[in-house]
Amino acid sequence: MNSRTKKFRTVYLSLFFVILYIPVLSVILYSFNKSPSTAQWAGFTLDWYKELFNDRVITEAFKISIQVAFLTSILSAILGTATAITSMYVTKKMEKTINGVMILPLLVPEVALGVSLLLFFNALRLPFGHLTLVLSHSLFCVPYVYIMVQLRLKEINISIIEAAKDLGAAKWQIIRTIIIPLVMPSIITASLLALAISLDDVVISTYMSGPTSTTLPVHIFSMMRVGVTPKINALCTLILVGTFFIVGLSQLVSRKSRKEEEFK
Amino acid sequence: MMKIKMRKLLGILLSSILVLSVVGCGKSDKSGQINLMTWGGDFIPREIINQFQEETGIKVNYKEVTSNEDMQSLLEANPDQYDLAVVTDYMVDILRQNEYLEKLDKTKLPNFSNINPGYQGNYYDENDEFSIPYAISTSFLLVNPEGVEKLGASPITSYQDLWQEELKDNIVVIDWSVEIIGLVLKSLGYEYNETDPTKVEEAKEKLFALKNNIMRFETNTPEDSLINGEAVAGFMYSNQAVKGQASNEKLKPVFPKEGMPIYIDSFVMSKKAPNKEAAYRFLNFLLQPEIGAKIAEITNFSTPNKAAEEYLPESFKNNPMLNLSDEVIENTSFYINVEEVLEEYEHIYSEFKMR
Repeated sequence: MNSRTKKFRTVYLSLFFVILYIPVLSVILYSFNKSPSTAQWAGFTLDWYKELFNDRVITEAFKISIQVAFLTSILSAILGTATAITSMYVTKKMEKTINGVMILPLLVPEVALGVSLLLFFNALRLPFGHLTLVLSHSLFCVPYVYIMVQLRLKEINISIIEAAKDLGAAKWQIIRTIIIPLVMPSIITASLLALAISLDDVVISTYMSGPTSTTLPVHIFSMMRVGVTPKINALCTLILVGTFFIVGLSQLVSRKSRKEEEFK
Repeated sequence: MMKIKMRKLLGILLSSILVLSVVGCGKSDKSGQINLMTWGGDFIPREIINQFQEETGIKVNYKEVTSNEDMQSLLEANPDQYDLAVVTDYMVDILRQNEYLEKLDKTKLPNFSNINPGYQGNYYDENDEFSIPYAISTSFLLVNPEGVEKLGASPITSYQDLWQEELKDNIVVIDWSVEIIGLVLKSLGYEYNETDPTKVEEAKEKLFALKNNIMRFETNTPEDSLINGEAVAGFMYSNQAVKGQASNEKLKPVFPKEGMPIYIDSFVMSKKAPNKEAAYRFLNFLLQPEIGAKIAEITNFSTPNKAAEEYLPESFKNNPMLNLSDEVIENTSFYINVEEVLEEYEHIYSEFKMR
């Protein structure tokens, strides 16, 4: 690569990231703005953060969001991993079918999914609240776990498993002592991703939450009618910091596992 | 082998459902609470809800949603889950026709007499059987007269004035087809949601002529463009105009002489409401004059509560955008039959925005 293309690459990439992150930076900046309007900068203040922590509705919604996201990531990690491992032991045709069925929830428009889940859970007489939120969020988080774990499974050296079989290991034993430890980093990364996706969801949560379980994103979107206060900028800033933390953590986990592998 | 796997999978699924249902339960006692559904934030101020809870011991669960259509889906799927909802005028009509609304028993609402008769008997509920007006809002123009003068344009008093060439790239508008095409229709002297193809065609052409003057389409904070001087005129909702003027005193409301839209957000009760008695108590509580005044002050929506007017602060009473004069109210009209025109209007609107 000559120096001109190199230069071009640097300029292009930095421009790309600047444009990508300017809106994010402006949210952070305005969370410290004294004026309640984004039209003018009136000086530095921490008042919006103070107001944020005193807002019982937001803290309650945040708590619900976190609980749901946490349970969702656990449930979808279990279901996604189990399905991915199952797909290893079935015929090629069956595997394709499983693949198709798993991707389906990602292709259905969210509104359609939300309304049909609403009718379905209603027919089952499930109480709307944490339970329905976790189940529905898992529905569209499982595919991500499935895809990520399956990719990792494909990388496993088949001779390890064959050696174990030769030495008389039972199927369950192989799964527990060889396969799961090998895909663990993927499971962790995938469940962190599920956590973030679940925290993000608005459309399905609107339909799935009961009268007492409004999640944070739904709360923010529902404020549009009356007008959003800079409290929300402060909140977004905190969430951003949290998200970067989670993403960083997952990067760290996968990098560490890569390194370990190289050693082997 | 396959079957065993599937059974195991199913086992995991079922046991997790079981665990989660245990987590989710524990809220079977429904007697002392009502479930309310509407827009969030302070649309119905928590302060007011807390006061009601303290006075009566009835707990109010506030489910927040983003749109009238969401409320419709939720209410129609679970009519026995919600007691009350606040929806906009046209949605009252839809819900009433679909028979999801309870006919309100006025003997349980002695404070209903506080409601301004001017906001009663509208098309969506001719005999005031199903709905109680809660918040009134309109859309109109917010203008920076100095800015208009500087550009060499004549003062803006009507929609028609927005077409002046001098206003190039100086107008901000709400980003919704029905709203903007409605503005054009009014400027031509027609009614909202016109279906006559020749009139719609005429409006379409006039709409395209406005394109050069619009600098921004913005639904959430159109007032900001006026505050920071990017635009000299904007078509926006009343609560946004109020906020804009509070930040910049130079900005003045203009109630276009051709007429304006009005939105009446109204309380409705589900036909299968689980706790009707408590819901009536809540409605009657909200209809008190002092409470009505406090709600209006917090939300920046005009109050339909006539008796509340004397409790409003001076600043609210003297604000023509909040305390709408009778002649302004007379010049307003509803968006009726939105579903009928929406597709056609959206089509025109997207063509307009692409130009």
